[in-house]
Amino acid sequence: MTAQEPHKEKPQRVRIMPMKRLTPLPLPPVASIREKMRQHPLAVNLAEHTFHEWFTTPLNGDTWSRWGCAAQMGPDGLTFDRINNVSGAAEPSDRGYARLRHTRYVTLHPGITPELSERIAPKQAPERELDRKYLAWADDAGKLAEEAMARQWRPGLTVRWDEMECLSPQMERAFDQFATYLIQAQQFCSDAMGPFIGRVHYQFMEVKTLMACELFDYNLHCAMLRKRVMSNGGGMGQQVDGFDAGVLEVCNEASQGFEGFQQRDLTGMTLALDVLFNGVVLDFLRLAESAHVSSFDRRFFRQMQQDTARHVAWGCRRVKYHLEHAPDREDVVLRLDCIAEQAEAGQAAGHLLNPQVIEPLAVLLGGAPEKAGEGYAILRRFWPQFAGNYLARLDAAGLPRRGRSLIPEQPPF
Amino acid sequence: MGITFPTPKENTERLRRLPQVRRWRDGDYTPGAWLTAPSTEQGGAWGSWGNSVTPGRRGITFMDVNKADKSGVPATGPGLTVDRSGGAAPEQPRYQYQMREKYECWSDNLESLLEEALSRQWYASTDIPWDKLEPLPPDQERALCQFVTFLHVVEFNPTDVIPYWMTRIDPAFSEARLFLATQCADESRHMEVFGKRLFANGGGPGVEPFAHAVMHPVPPHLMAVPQETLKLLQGKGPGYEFLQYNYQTQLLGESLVLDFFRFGEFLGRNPCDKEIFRRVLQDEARHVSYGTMHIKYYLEHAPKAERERALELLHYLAAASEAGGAGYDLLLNPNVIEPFVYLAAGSMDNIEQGWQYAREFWVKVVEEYLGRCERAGFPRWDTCLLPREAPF
Amino acid sequence: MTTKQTLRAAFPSAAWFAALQQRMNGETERFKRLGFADSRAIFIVKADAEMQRDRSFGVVFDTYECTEVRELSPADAAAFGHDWKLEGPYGAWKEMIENIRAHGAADADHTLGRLSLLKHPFRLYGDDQMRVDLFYRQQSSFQEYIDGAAAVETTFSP
Ligand SMILES: [Fe+2]
Ligand SMILES: [Fe+2]
Repeated sequence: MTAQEPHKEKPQRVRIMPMKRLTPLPLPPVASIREKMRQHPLAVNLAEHTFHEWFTTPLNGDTWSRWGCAAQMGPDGLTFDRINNVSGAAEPSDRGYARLRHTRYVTLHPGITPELSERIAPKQAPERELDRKYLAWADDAGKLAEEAMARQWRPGLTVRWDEMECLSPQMERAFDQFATYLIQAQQFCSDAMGPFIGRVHYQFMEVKTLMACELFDYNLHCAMLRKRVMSNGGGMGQQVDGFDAGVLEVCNEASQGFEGFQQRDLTGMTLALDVLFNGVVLDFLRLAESAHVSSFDRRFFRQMQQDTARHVAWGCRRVKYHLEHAPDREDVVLRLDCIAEQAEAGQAAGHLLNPQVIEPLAVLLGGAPEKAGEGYAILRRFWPQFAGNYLARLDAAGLPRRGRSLIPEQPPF
Repeated sequence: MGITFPTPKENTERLRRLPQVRRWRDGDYTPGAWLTAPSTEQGGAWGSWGNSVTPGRRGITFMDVNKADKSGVPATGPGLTVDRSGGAAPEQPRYQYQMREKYECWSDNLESLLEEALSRQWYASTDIPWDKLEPLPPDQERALCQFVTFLHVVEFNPTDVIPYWMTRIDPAFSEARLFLATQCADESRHMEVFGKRLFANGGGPGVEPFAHAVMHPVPPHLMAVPQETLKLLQGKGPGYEFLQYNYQTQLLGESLVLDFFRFGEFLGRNPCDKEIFRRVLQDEARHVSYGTMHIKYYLEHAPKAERERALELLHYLAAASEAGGAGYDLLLNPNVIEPFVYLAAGSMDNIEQGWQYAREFWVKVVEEYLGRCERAGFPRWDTCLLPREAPF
Repeated sequence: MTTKQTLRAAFPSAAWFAALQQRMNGETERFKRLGFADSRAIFIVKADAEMQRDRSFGVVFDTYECTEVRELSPADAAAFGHDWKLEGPYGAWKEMIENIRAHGAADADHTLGRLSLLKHPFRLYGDDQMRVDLFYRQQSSFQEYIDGAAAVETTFSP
């Protein structure tokens, strides 16, 4: 993209296909374009001022499929579940139909033959890569999506910036360093999972919605933390390296950099990113909430926990659904175990024991740099929860790894 | 995967040998350089220090933050994974993000657009007064649902593709990433709200909105732009440069859709439908504003040769898109225009009035699009291929 | 709609727009749910058969509040630095206000978006399309502001 290639820089961490530039083909002369536009069959059609199929098709359940079906709103508003119950498509079918950008609410036009539909929406198109239910769906996806929207952080209504409190310079520094890590972690999640959204077939629109919320959560967290860090006397800290260890490699493997046409591994990505990585972030947020921070900062951490817990829940349900419905269950278990191992090995060393994460957290927990020892004592007592929560989640997802997990059950320090 | 992993026991041993873990085991809790390092300004590895903002009536905004931040937004991203104003020691790694120039993603109104987007998020399930829907005469409900069916299936598309560019943007330009994330949330909500509207008042989804184009494609001898060229333009996907997307979707496509939404507000017959369209058009106007102002920024800040290439590309894209799928075909979609006409007329007795409204609408749509091209820095008043008057 | 006190004003007048301002600023919570609104708007009541000369009112929206209302002479209007102008003949304003008074909020035929879409009876314009777009970006807030007329006992004195 740029002319000068700086030395010793590595390619960006989250792999993504390079951007191409279009090579223009010459356009016909303007007069010819204008003339043909005048003769455009749709223009000619409209000029006749008659209404076409949408107006004349009988409302009998064929092309116009659900005339007379109305959903009622409830105390939780007009939710996906309420809509789905009257839609005639409450659950997605097991195999996505051959269409791009087309949710399961709309009936496919009977005039489009299977051959034609394969031509207009080939399987080798991004939106159809993940078109099997076991590859993308989760039980209660609609409810999860609604919860994601209903409980999303509304900073305009809930953050009272005038209640932000000054911290001592050293505590502000510890807070800022920890927040700098959190921002990087949220950005990494956004980068790793965002491009997967476009690979999920439209019949799983609740999953797409849920993932769009997840993407937004990560970025909203970045936005709010950036404001917090850049306004309270401190500033952005030092780059934290290595916290994505193991997970990054799994995500790049799962996406293949989004190059070519092939099956992407949404499940592998969610296992590493949502179940394990977000699980670790969630525990760090719980620790931070109980640290010596102001009540303003505590509310920040609490809100982020809520959002992060939803991401973890989605990851667990995705893995569970996959394990319960994949046709080749034994192969899947082997593959997911392998992914888990790779992610655990990296995360234990790079994330859970990352000094740039643990040190500021220990200072926040202890209440001062000279009391960091008290922070480490808390971390030691807490440590079994890192391992325990993760193992319990894997149990629930149907991928038990007790006795095999590479996250030590006791603190290595 | 070809990698062998240690057993849990071996792994624990490995972890215990990590230098920091040894220190901690030995009771040495001295924090690393981060606690005392000087900031980047002073040649240290810490990022920035001493940023203070007094909250105003809207709390703390990115405008406030950036005013207080002495380091400013660089023209070229440094390739760090840390957010802007963060620091790194010389030995820490740098990365080559695919979009590392500020002009590739920035716009002059970016911070305020981002604030507006954060502040104007809404929720389809509860922020729309669904209980204020009223039964419509059957043909009006049918027309509205047909229009909404079209919107339901097209709206999510930006969320499918924008994350690829977000991932490529150097974190020094975090506001650009954040704004684009709000657009993803917006578009997802648009698909959702229109999907829900389909089933909220008894109409149900209508005819598959692009079926006519598939079953009755324009014959080759009548195609204003040859098939191969149209295929090229489908490269507005995330495998292509962002500028192409900025024009084709954010400036052209969303500008037309924004006007569709405004027409929707015009046509809505009850507080629920009015509110749906008012909310979505607010969101859409932000997307168009970003697309337009970003192209302007690109043209004003790219190096001369790149600027010239970009201008040429924009005019080329504009000509081809105006004459083809993204422009003319969209404005001629019978599953959009005909329901408009019916709704504007209210009944068959008054139908010519409906066509008159649709013609007036067309004039406005093209005018506003041209106003935006001009604002973006590539005026097309004399070259635009979209007819200024409706062809019906 | 909560009416804490009876507001009375004649239309068109700065006092009438100020009454809407008073209502808006008394309901910050409602406007917070809609988000920030930042616009320098000029509302123009055009002369028609019933009214002899054009009247212009500058209204400034900032965050969740309306911070300024004043009548503008042509010279003032040029210096006001507007984002957008919304202009309609006196008769159309009157009809809209009466409609809002009768329904508690504009009905389907009298929303700002509807009245201005096709450039008649109202016209939305400005010098810079991006600044005009602010109207679209924050339209819910402006509709809510105008709907405040429901709480203003209005006498018409063209
Ligand atoms: Fe949209
Ligand atoms: Fe949009």
